[in-house]
Amino acid sequence: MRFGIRRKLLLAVGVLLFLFVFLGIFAQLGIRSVHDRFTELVEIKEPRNAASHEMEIGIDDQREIDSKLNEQIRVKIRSNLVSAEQAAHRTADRTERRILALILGGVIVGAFSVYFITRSVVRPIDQLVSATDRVNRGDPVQRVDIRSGDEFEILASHFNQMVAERERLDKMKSDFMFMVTHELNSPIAVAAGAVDLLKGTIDAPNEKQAKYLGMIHRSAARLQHLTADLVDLMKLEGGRFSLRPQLTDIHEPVRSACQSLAPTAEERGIRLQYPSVDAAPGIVLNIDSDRMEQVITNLVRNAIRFAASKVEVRVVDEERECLIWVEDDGPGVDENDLPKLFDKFYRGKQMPDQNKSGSGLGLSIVKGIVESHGGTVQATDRGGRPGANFVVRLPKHG
Amino acid sequence: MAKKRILIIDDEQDLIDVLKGRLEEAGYEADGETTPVKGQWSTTRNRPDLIVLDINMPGWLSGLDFIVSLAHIPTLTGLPILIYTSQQSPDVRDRALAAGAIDLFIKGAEDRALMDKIKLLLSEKES
Repeated sequence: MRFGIRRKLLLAVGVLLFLFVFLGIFAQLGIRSVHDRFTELVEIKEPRNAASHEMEIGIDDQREIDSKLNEQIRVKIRSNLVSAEQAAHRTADRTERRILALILGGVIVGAFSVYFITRSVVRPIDQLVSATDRVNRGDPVQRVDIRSGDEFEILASHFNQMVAERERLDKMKSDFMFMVTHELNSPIAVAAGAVDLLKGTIDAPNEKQAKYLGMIHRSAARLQHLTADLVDLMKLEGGRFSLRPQLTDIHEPVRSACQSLAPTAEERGIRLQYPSVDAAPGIVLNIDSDRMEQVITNLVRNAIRFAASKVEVRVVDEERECLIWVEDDGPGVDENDLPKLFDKFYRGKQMPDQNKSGSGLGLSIVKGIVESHGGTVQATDRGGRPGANFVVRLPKHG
Repeated sequence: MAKKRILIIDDEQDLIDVLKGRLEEAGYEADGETTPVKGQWSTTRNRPDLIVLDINMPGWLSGLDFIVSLAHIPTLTGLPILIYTSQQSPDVRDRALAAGAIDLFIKGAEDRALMDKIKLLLSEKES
């Protein structure tokens, strides 16, 4: 390290201190000079006493000599005073100028010091703070370039290494996921297909056959759903999620999703309410109709699964956004679960009589699709009434 | 009215068998070949109504090349081809469609969608 940060700072502070000391000394010198001049004045008195003691003369002459001497002394004192005064003024002026010059110099050096410190300390810190902020927000991060020849340079180089490593791990993770799902696809297709065909070959299965066949069938179905969800999720994660947005009336995917789930609702004895054809004016948004249908299907399917008696789907037109409400009157979402609901693989309280179907990926896919449209999705309770509310907000572009 | 015939081209015999079983249950006739070359031969010998094709098969003729090769045979124009693969990248889908396939379905994840599409395409052909 040529000039470590510590040394640079010490240098800057040292220069300032030196400056102040120097200033002080100079000022002190000036004042001392003035002081000296006045001291000279005092010393004049001494020769006068010496002179009169050494002369042996008569009283009158003494008086005349005395008065003449006094006169001379007075004149001398006066002229000394004058010159001393002038010297003092000059010195004071000079000192004043020196002090001003030094103050000015001090300000300039101070400004330089501040600039120096800012550049070598504050700026690198700023760069690192904004770079780490970008990493945490998941934005693409450029390398931090600091070449100051000190600890900040080391820090920046370490940071860059960490970012590179993180990117490598991310890629490894998604490559792995990709490969795993790739390998799983074919065997799952074969197993699921084969068990369906097997069921078809057994006209009257005995109890055990029916039971085991049922187990394989359900597991195969779960595997298929899981694979499908993973495929979707990877599309979302890799940012390779290509939406095909078109101007569509939002009611279309909503109705389509609800209609396809109507039989399921009926099976479970749940009343499913959704906007009918003539009920509301169309709200045209720029959306990927299939994906939005996937979103609504997911939310409504969940609602049906948990509802006690009723599921209501409403579309609300507001000035800046369009809202889609999916409400059920089931047990609702636990307060503690609310913030984590849309996390990958999160599965909250399951109903005891449900098959544990669902991979826990559904809501994170919903969130991904909605957010890709520039919208938001939220889960809330119903304020005292039992059940859960899910609201999807989609922006309207004016 | 003769049953519609579907040709399956996939290097995994198991997959061919399962798909064949499913399609026959749905009322179609189905045959399978394990390489595109054999598939080509089968197609020219006995024209199917639809082809389900895997695309990463070993051998010198890739699945996509196969589609292109069919385009050169006049008796086979208008033959719908659906890709059924374990590959998930979106650019694979784009390339397949560019080569002339009608759609792409992912094995294990989009099985039902594949069946639905087959039914849709083959019922359209009747009208």
